[in-house]
Amino acid sequence: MATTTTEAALYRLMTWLTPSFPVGAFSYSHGLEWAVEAGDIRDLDSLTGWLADLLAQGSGRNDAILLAEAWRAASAGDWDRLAEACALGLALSPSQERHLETVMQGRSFASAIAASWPCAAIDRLRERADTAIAYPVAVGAAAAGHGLPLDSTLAAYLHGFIANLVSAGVRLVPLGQTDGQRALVALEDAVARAAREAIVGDLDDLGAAMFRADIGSMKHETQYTRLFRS
Amino acid sequence: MFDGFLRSDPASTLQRLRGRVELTVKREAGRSRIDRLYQEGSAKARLPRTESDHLEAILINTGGGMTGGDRLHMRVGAGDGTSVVATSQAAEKIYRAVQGAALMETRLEVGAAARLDWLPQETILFQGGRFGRRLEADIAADGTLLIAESIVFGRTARGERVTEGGFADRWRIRRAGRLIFADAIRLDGDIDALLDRPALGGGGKAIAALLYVAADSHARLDEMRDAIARHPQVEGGASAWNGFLHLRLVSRTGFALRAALVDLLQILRGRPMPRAWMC
Repeated sequence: MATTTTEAALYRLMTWLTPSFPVGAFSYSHGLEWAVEAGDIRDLDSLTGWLADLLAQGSGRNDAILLAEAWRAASAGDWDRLAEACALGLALSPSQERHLETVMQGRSFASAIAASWPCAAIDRLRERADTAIAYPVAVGAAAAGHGLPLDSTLAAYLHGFIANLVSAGVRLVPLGQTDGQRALVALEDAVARAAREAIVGDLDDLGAAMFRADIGSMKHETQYTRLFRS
Repeated sequence: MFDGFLRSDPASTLQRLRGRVELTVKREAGRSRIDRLYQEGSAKARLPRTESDHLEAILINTGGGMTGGDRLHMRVGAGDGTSVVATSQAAEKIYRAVQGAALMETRLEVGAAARLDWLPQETILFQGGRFGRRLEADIAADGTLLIAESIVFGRTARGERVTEGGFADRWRIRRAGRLIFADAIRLDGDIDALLDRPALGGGGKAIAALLYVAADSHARLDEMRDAIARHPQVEGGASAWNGFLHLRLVSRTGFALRAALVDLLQILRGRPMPRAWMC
């Protein structure tokens, strides 16, 4: 496996996991749109509380574990294991829209990498998983394919995940841009913790308890006015 | 820490409850009949006679609740063309664990054109209880599987609170050999405080999940949403994708959760609950 300099790793991760990378992250709220509608998220504190739980008890944590598993599988050239992580990532979706959210972003990410930043790991993943690719698994495979370190990849992925949701929250509540930055400050430790847990953990550590967030993503399907696809 | 909860099964020096039931059902003379029934330890199955062509099985833990180190294994196989409903005799109680966790493993198999309804009554986890549950299901491409599982943290009617405990639940559902749905629940420590958080339980201490893998699963979605809305004490959602329906319910009390679940299941199944539910 090729190794990459720190600067090159940073360059690639910043390219892949910023909002301009063509995965359409901005169109998914991960159920936040319903939580705002229902009054569960109404200010800075309730937004950061909700997102901190996503990182500690929910899909942020699970995504990190799946990304790490995909990174390890792809680094070892174990394509069956990579395909299994992909299938598990998709199966863990609690609702139709959350399934769509990970599949659409995973597919877009994998095809953008294949087109612009090709590597064997993404080719193998696309061959086996067809178009149904879980987003964190695609990121883990691409990072491994480029020899990017797991810890930096996790930090960049989780930052992208949470920054996208902070941005959704800022638009939906609505909050000022300064509050958006305050939310990112407040969530820095939670992001670091989720990344650390994924580095030492494995698939047996998967687990969440975001029952109302999951229900919210189901209710969002019938929400009358919607800006987001999830 | 809790992370090792489901992966390890350390040999305990204490004599603990062990039980295993394996039931397979075959189609014979147009009816669903027992193919094989194996019972071991504190797990038993009772099969009341029913007039209809489906087989009803009531699974019983004669140990009367579970605690750390206890193990129960249940396997139900609905053979090709059969119809089976399996339930439990009563709510399962998980008592304070001195060491380790209570573990229940369930394996479900649904053959071609067969239907299995897995409808155990609720599990009640008491203060200090630690419970791991694993459910694996394999469904034939045209098989139908209905699962409803619920867990209540403390006897909610008495205002009990579980400020120390653990619950880990792991589902793996495969259809025609492909993984189509997985769930992984993990609650550890002050469960009462965790479930007070808005994104987790919002104060709800009784949780249920329902999964319906069936040809008509998507067609039943609106009906399920309407039924959930008729239960104001229960917050719930329903969603359908990839040929199955998934519901999640949360309530402050086990009583309200059970009432909603009975209503939803009766609508979905088009028949009354198994008698064990009504006692």
